[in-house]
Amino acid sequence: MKSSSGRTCVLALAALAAVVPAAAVEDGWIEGSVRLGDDLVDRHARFMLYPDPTRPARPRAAVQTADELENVVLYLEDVGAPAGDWPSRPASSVMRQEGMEFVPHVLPIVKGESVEFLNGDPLFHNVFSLSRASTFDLGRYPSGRARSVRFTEPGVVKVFCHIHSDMSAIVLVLPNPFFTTPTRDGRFALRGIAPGTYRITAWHSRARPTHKTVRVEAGRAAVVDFEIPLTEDDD
Amino acid sequence: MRLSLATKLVAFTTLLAVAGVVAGFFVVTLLVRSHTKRLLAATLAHHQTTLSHLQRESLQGMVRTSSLLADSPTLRAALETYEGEEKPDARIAGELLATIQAEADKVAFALDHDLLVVSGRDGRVLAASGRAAEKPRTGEDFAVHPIVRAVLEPEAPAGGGVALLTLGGEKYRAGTVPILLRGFLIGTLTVGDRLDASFVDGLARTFDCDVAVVSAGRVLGSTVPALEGPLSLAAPSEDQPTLLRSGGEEYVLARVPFGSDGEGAGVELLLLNSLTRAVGTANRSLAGALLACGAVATLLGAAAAWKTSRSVVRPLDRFVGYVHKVAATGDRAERFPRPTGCVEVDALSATFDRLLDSLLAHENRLRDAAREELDRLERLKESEKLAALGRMLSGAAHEINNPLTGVIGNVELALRLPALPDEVRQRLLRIEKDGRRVSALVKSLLKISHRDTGARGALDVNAVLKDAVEVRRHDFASAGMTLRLELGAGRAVVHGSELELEQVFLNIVNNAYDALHGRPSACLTARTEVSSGQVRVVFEDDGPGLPHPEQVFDPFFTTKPVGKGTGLGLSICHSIVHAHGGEITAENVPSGGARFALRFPESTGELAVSPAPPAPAPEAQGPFAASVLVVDDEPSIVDLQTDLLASLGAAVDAVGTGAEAIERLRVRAYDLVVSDLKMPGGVSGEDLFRWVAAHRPEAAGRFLFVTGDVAGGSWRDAEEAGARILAKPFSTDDYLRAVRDAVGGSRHAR
Repeated sequence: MKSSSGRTCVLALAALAAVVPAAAVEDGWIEGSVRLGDDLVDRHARFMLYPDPTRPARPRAAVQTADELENVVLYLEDVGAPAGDWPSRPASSVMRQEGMEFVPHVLPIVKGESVEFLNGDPLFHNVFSLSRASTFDLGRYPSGRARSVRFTEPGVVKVFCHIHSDMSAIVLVLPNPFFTTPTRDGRFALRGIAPGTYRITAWHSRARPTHKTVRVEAGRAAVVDFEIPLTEDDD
Repeated sequence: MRLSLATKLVAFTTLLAVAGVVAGFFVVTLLVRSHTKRLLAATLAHHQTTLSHLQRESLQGMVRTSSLLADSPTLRAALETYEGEEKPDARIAGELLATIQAEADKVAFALDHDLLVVSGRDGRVLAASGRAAEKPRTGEDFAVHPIVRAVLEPEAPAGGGVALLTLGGEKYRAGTVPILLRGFLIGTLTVGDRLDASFVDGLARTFDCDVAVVSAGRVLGSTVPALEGPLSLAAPSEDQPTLLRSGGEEYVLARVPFGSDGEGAGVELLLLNSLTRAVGTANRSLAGALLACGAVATLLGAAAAWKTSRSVVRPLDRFVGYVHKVAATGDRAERFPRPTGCVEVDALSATFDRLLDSLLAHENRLRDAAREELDRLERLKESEKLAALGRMLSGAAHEINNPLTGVIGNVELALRLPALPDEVRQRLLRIEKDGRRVSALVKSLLKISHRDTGARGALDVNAVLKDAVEVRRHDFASAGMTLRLELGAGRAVVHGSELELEQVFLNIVNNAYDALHGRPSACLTARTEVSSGQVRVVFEDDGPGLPHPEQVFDPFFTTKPVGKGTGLGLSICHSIVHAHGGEITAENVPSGGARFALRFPESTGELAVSPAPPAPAPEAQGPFAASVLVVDDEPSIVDLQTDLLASLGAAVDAVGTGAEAIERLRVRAYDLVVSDLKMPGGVSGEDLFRWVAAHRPEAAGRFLFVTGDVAGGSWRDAEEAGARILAKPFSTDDYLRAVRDAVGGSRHAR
């Protein structure tokens, strides 16, 4: 956190407001930026501690803050609006197992949806979870197959492979579809939100969830900027 | 206590050998101790290196093991899930923790570690397993331990750490690795092995030496019995191994630093080797070997000493025996046989021989000196005896000569008588002959007894021999034996003492007489011969010979019965002959007799003039008309002279003393004065002659001495003064001739 100022994405709010047209009269939207603290990425090991003899050792590239931004999920906790207003979502999402990794690493879904775990590696994989929200074990299955799990409880579901211990992923099961992931420059926009006051959360697996209250007015953007993790402990 | 050389040598050698062995044992013990110490230290240093290396390997292994443990998908999933739960309910949390705990237990059991602790990324203990008595409780902050904290640090090295861990008062050798997921730390895993007795036992088995683990002087575990803290160890030095004493044993030790828990003092591993035990074993075998060698050396030394001493003592004993024998027998000529094989005894014996030689030589000198002294004394005695005899003989001869002169003169006068019956004439002739024999004998005796002993000069050996032989001729003849004299022709002159030579000759003749006595018709031949500068005198008889010819010249050697001879005679003869530069030998001739041969160097000196035999006076029978004064104290002599002179027609006056004669001479002159030399009263014949010479010088030329003492000292003076001397006894012819000569003035040099 000492060195965080240099790596902050800055959002020029005024310019943005001018550019974005007022598409929905009655809805407002939330936009802003996410700035990640260095400590989230600094702890990343520079090498494979447990080298896999089957694969050539490849030095892990330094994890960039921008990369970590992919793993940030911004969502509204209590929307309270009727389900019909919500944007439509596919019933199933796909999490692939490619190159001994779950891709994507963080997959936010809405509760009730299914996730298809597709084995894209030429070897057996396993998918299991010990998490409270959803505990399952899909067993081992070969390349090209897919097994799916339906997540009914909101919460953080950490997914592992029982064969490859370094593989992990997170299925973030959210109560509503109002969530997004920032772009590589840290910007995000959450649209179609009825005016009102909301609690917006910025989530990262290694950081404590950051909550902010935002008031969304019709036809205009409510700007929220996050810094993860927060300097303050309690909020 | 007196000990023999052998005992001393043996004792000394044995003592030396034992002392040598003991000293050797101590020296070697010290050396062995020093070497063993170094050897043990070297071994320990090697162990030290090995242990350090093993330690490093072991720790790396521990890290690798830990890493493998952390690779457990279940563990990681449970850990990550547990950590990720925002508000885990008790059930889920319990299950996750139990899962973690089960994984930890499984691994701890499989890998046989004393301690296995899993913590979350905040350092809180999630599970603890292993044999450790006091394990951290769940939820406890494990990051208080530097080793864990180091892993949790943001800047921590990714490989994890190995160090000491103190837990509940016990020390653990521990390794902590991070548990990573996709490169991000999700927790820590710590495995540890307690540094206790079993750890130490394992190391001790591995290195086959004693091991102790100490921390700040406190002993955490040790295989050395009774090793208790606090220990204070000296700083290790390069050349001197560190020593530690415990339980009565001494240990060489090497120290292996074992790291620190980052708080208190570090832990050290001590590798120990018992010097006492190592040296004890070496010393026992060494003592055995030295004892055996020492015993052998002692025995050999003692035997050698015994042998050496015997080689000295044996010859020495023999030598002592020899000395005793020499002392007992007095045989100086016996010699100790050499070599004895012992140099010292040889030297001693040689010295003793020189001493004996010197003693012998000294003794011989003493004996020679004693013999010479005896000879001298004997000769002196003989001389004195002879001198006494001579004096006696001189007196006796005088007394004999006077009557003998009367006898002979009267017999001659009687024989002149005409018409003597034949038988009377024969008897008178026999009386005359016997008288003359007596006269000759007395003359010889006087001659011998009056000789000057010391004077040496040129001598006619023949004359001396003849005189000596004549002394005993009658004895030989009366015993029926023959004494033959064979004198060589020509001159036989030696330089010597007449008396001594005559003594020698007489001695030999006497001995021959004694030896031949009782053997009628035995013969002794005395022979002289001169050849090549030597005068030889040989006495040879046909008697029994000499029983020991080689010993006859030894002093006191005699064959005569005790009391008959002194045994000195021939010894003195030997001395005398040698004193004359000659030689005397005795031997037996092949025919059986004895032979004494004497050799003298011939002398070229002039003989003293001997009186020529007086020429017979042709006119002896003619008339003699002269006035004669006869002076003699012996009436018979006076009568005889008066008768003789009167028979010739001379006018004779006779007086008895010198004084009377002087009275007569004062009164008148005489044609002739005939005087005795020795006369009683104050005036001797000599005095009378002096008076005449002084007062009647014309009459001094007509002076005749008649004396029975021909050897008298005044003889020469009278002769030199021109007086004539006629020795008694004389024949009438001699007398008349002398008288005529004296009156006639025809003088004969004598």
